[in-house]
Amino acid sequence: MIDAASVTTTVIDFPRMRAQRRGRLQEAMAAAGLDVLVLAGPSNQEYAGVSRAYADAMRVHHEPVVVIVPATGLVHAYTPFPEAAYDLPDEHVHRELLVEYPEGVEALARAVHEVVPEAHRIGIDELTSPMLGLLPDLLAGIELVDAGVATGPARLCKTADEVECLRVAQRINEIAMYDVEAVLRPGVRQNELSAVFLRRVFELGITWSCIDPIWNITPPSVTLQTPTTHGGVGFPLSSNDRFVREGDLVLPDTGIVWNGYHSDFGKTWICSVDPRPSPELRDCYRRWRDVIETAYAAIKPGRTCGDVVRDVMAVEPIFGFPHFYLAHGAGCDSAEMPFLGSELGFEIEDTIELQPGMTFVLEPMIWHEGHGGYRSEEVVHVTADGCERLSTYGYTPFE
Amino acid sequence: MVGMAEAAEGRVMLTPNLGTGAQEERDRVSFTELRAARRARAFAEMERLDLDALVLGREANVRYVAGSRRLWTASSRPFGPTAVAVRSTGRVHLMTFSASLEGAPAEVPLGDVFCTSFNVGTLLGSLGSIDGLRAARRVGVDGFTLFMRDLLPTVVPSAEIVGVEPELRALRRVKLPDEIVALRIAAAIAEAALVAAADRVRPGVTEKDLQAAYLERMCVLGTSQFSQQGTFTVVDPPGRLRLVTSGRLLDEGDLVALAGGVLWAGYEGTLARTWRCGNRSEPTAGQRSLHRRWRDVSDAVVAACRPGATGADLVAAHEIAGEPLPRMPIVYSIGLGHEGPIAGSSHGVDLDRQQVLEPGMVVAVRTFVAGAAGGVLGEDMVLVGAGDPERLTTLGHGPLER
Repeated sequence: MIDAASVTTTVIDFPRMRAQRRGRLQEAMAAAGLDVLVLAGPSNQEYAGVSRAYADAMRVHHEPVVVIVPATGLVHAYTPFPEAAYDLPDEHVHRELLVEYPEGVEALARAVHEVVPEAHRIGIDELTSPMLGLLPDLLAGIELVDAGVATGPARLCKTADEVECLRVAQRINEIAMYDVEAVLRPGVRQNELSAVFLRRVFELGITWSCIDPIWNITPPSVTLQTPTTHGGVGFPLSSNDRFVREGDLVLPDTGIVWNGYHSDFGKTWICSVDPRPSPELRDCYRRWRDVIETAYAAIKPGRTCGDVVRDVMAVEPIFGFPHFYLAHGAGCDSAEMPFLGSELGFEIEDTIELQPGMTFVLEPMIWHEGHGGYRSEEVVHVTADGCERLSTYGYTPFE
Repeated sequence: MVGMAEAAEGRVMLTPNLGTGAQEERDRVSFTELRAARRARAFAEMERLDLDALVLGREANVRYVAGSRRLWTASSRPFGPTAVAVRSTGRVHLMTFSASLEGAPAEVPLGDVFCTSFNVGTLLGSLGSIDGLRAARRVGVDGFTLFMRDLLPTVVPSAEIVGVEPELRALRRVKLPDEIVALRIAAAIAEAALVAAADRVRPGVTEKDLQAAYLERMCVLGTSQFSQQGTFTVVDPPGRLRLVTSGRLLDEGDLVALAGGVLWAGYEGTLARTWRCGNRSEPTAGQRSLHRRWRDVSDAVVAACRPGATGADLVAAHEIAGEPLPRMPIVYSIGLGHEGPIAGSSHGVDLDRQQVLEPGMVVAVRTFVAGAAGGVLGEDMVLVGAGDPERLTTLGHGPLER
């Protein structure tokens, strides 16, 4: 077997990682008073150790996967991909339930009753149309709550193996971006950049691609862009076959999934036969550096998400797009809790204390109207006394 | 829906000039007309179902009703309001992640576009400002979460909220003429990508390399969006199909399943072939025999794809050919992605019997045969017309067919 493990010397113990995640899920279920979890969301299923053959853009491309997690005992998987239901004995791996149809929802209710006959409180992450109408009757007498009360706390802090998965994912993403940066020349099209990227990341053994690679061509002024709802900079814009031309400011944003874990790569590039940032853009980069160094210094166990945002705001009161944030969590979803500097506000973010194992993607952006801006994303994880960067890529042509 | 009458009027080109870019002499697809036609059908369906509003989150429905192209993501996308259609005003409102009007169709004005928000208050404010929504008595949704179950009633306080994905799926299954053209183009892209993967089949190449070749070619052809990223796996004797593409090296004599799906303008092109790896030797008698069995059962099922046939009839055609059903549906509907199984689902004959083919439907016919020599997977897109079914994918089968 040749796979992406060859790009790193990191040793990840996958069975240990899955066992620890299932343990955390069950601890969180106990704390939330749940008897059982019914999971339809791919990232929650991944966390419970049940993966899929491929990422699905349409939600129901092939028959959906359903995972039932009892508060005690082994997970049951109902899946068209039995080979991706890990560590489970055959009698826990069943054929798929067609939960997009009434027949499938009835079968799901029977399965829940069989797996946990005495269930009083069930967490569910996603409902299909037939579930909406049928489940209240089929599960009469059982309280249905959002699965997030358990999956959220369980997934908040990563194990050492999970952090290493994120490191490998980020490394693969970066290796592919070296190839992309090399072909970013006037006249290349966005779809050609995607071709270079996707070919390389799959050759390096990624599991899924989960987001259309973004090559955001960003005009120097908001008056030159397609209108936005808030009048600020529009981001991220979907890619197409558009030419990238001399002088274009390109804000790439790409991500891949390696064994369930999402990378996140953002940068600011200039497309030119001789890329040279203007003094104003260099200034944006310098200010961006101040912000990111401030954030690195601020991230420590014991401080809150709100504390980090305040430290950054003391340096730059406006640190990003109007509809974005300073940072989001990263793990089995490309953006997950907790958020920093988001629309949730200090009221929420002051209540979330940083803990070792939390992982973030910091993505500040400094804008100088009329000249463009600088944005880069940095993946970090919280350590015992600070944070460590998982991103390693440089800052051409700004360094 | 689509037929020779429209073709004769020039509505559908009998010899379609398929391609992904525009040329001045003809529109391949008139997207303005297509959006208007889809939207008209959606509003008619709202009327039929007595729905005052639709609150949609799924990619296919958002594309169908709103015609918007949002940032493509796969896997993690729980239900969230993305397009809202209000019957009393005839307007469609969009939620966008980018805050930009890019990707929104020209007929949706800036005032009807909102930026997605994590903040419940902001989200409710946006939904609450939509003309006519608050008065809705019946609201259809295409998916849900328990979070939205608690939230949406505050926006539509007197409404009954009902799940309508099955009805929307049924609506999408029967295609408009321009949708068929889009699907033909998607089929051509999928074939080109599959050829790129097939051309890379040789000893020493990994399964992932084939996937990489497929996706690279797809992107070069102008779309970086796939419907699902496919299966590229060696099928070992006695023929167990692995769906997870791995880093395994291909070897001389291997049978390699190649399957993938692309999207063009949201429409899916999908097909599968099985290639033989190696240049030192010819396919074995056993491998050729597997391919002949696949050809026989595939032809039988495709031939049965006629108006009025049910999923149960298609399963019967498979059985008459003497092949056991694989552990996957053998026929499913495709359009703006997967539109549900038609034959061979895990819930058996009762569900299959409810699925009835109509002219204008496009289905994928997927079969897998196994034996001592390994296994052969193949899939084609088939257009159900008034008469004989038409294979929209026409790619050959390479070494196994020699």
